[in-house]
Amino acid sequence: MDRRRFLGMAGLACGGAALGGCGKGPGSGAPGSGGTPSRGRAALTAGKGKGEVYVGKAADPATALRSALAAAGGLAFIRPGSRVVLKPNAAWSRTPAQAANTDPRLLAAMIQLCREAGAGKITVFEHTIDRPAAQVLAVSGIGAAARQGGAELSYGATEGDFAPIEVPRGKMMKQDMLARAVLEADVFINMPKAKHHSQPQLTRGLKNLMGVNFNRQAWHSGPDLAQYIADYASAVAVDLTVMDASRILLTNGPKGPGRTREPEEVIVSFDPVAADAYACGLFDLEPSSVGYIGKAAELGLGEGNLSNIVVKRV
Amino acid sequence: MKTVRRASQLFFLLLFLVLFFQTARHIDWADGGMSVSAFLPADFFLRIDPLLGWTAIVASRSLLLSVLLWTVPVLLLTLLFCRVFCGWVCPLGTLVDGADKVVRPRRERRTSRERSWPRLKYYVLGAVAASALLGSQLVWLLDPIALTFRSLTLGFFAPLQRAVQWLPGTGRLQSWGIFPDQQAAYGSGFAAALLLAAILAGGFLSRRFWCRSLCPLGALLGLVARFPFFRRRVGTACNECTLCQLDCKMDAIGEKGKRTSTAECIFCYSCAELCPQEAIRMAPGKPEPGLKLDLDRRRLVTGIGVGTVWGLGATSALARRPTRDGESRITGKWLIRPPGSAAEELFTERCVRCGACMKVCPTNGLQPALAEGGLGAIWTPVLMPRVGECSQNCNLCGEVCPTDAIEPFAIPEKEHLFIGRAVINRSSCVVWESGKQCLVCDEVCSYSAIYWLDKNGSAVEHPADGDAEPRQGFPYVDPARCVGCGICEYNCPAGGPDAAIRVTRDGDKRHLSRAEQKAWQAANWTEREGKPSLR
Repeated sequence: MDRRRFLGMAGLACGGAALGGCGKGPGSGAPGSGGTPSRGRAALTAGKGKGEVYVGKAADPATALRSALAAAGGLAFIRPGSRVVLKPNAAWSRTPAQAANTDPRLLAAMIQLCREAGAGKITVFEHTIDRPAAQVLAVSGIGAAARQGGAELSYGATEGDFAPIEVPRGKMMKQDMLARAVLEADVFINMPKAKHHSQPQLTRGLKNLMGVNFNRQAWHSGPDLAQYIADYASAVAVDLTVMDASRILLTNGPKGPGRTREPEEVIVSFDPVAADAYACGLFDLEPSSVGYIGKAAELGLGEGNLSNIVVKRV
Repeated sequence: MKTVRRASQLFFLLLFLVLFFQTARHIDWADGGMSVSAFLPADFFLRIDPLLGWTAIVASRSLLLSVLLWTVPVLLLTLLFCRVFCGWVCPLGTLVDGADKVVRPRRERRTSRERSWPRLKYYVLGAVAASALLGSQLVWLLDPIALTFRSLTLGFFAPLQRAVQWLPGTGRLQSWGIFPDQQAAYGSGFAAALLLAAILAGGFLSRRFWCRSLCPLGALLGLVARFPFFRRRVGTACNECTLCQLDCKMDAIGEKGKRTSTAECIFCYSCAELCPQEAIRMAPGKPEPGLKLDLDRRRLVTGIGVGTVWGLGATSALARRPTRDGESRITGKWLIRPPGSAAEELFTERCVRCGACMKVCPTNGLQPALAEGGLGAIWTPVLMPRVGECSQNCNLCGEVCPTDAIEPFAIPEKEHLFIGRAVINRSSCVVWESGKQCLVCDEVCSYSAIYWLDKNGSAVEHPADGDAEPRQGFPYVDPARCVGCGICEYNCPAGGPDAAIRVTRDGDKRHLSRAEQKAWQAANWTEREGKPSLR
């Protein structure tokens, strides 16, 4: 057998081996599987502004964000050169007018503010539910906002983009997966959308964290989704919550399309539980009826009782 | 000329590969619109293939004029230059040439050391023609263009994606738009790859074994090329050294180098450049007697018989039995076709199994059928929502289908193109079965087709004051809104490989026209609080 034939045969054999390897179907993997779990860092703003919510009101969400953030004390916690990850809600292939995703104008303003605060690399992370992910980011305007702002756009879709983390304070969850981009970031800012959800027990801010988890399906088949959401939030350091309530989805949430209303508000808080509790009011809901808010408060993640929450409107 | 021929082969192979990889989504960042990005139609090669076009016309009994027109250039080429398509254009021919160089050492490249059965391909063609006449496609199995496209898609595309992901520095591949977001995987991909590998291994028997012995397109072009305008002509300087006859990779030369079989000659110019006497020209002129095409009538009848048995078998297979309600004639429960597909019978007749729709599907949900649709539907596209849903804002499969088995459709039309209906399995749904808080199917539904009632089908009561826990609702599917896209099935957390909500073919309304489907939706529509109204 000459060399050329041998190489040809070897090539065929390699091809066969590669083919054998493609039998593994997509979508495998249980929550928290694989690798040694790492422990997330503590929030930079831990203990700051508990029970305080800053609400900016303006027709332009960028203006509302700037005034609310100024009242909250600004982005001084971002050290120069920090790697910042922003997590908007851009799960759905819906336009900004349909109010199912975070408003791209708010994201653009946030990128700008982070840059002004001296941030280094800024990454916009989303694990979309509708697919293809690039199309969702295009339709929602989030992709264009990130690109124009010069931020890196990361839409982690494969299991390799997630790493296991410990959930030391979790009541039910002991371990789960977290996006590497978030795990490795110096600053993590959650930018949820305030919107209706077809079951009132679930809505808004902390739930947006499901998007930095890999296998969110597994939570639903678990014994208690609300507890899972609270537990998971205890393991992920959120340095700032910026909630978009410029235009909110009132019916047929979370994907819509449905009726919308324009409160023209942007909610800024260092206390993720308080931000969610405040947002309940936009939908005429009691925070106590939203299961995970009470459970998150029990874990000491923030203030869930409206009577203890100070709302500063600017 | 040999160099020019090789350049042409490389050019068309590269063009084929470029179009293959361009059979992918291109996303407009301004509005999220998706299109197939290509300077030529992505299915260019499939369209110019006369065998595919003609059998689709015959099998579906419809004169598709545009399909017919696309096949004219190759026919003209053949009338002028014999099977020049095989020698200069066909991507599989080029791959076979490449493989032959590997598997046949130089000293064995002589016709006297080779085995081939040139008449066999006519019997294959006979089988293809007979099955097409009986209304069932067989051409998909061995048509070189469809076969190559399909084998690349099903057999090599997914391993290639895996390999490229291993390479360092390739970054985030999904932004290229070439590969699906998740690792692609295709059922029966190994079989498709094996078919191509077997064809390339034909070099062990002879050079261009596939083109000489099996290719039905080669046989068809061979029949067309009986009286070509240009042909190989041997001048008086020939001293009958038979070098050309021994060297001809198509075994098209006989009688001591003097005569040519125009049905086999692929105009490769090897003989013209080899001839020590420079006696061979490829020139126009009046016809001269070539080598006779000596078909064995008994075997031809056998080939036609095979096609007949196939055609009868496929058109009367299990999957086509009438159902009780007479709504449709297929019973494959999970046989979900892409939106825009023609009614099932027409669909299997038109579909040439090229795999372009499966290649372009952004979620990898379109998978090759094995036995789900019966004998006549092997390797046709089936939506498997547990692998990937039919994305709401995508219509690419209709764009790339070369034979209109999937007719082009606009994205808003998807709201009333019913390809199936989701059904909730109450014994595995975590809400129905154990009262957990799950609403994933409702969350993800693009068409707002999930609604909530209590266990008895009455409205869910709102909690009284002081009642902390709201009353539980249970998910139901609205048949007028559910089109069967399967995004619920893809995302359903229950059931493991078998979701608690599954799309069945029950809601398939492809036997109705698009206007009729829209009318059916309007007639069965229920307004629901909070859900969008009928458009």
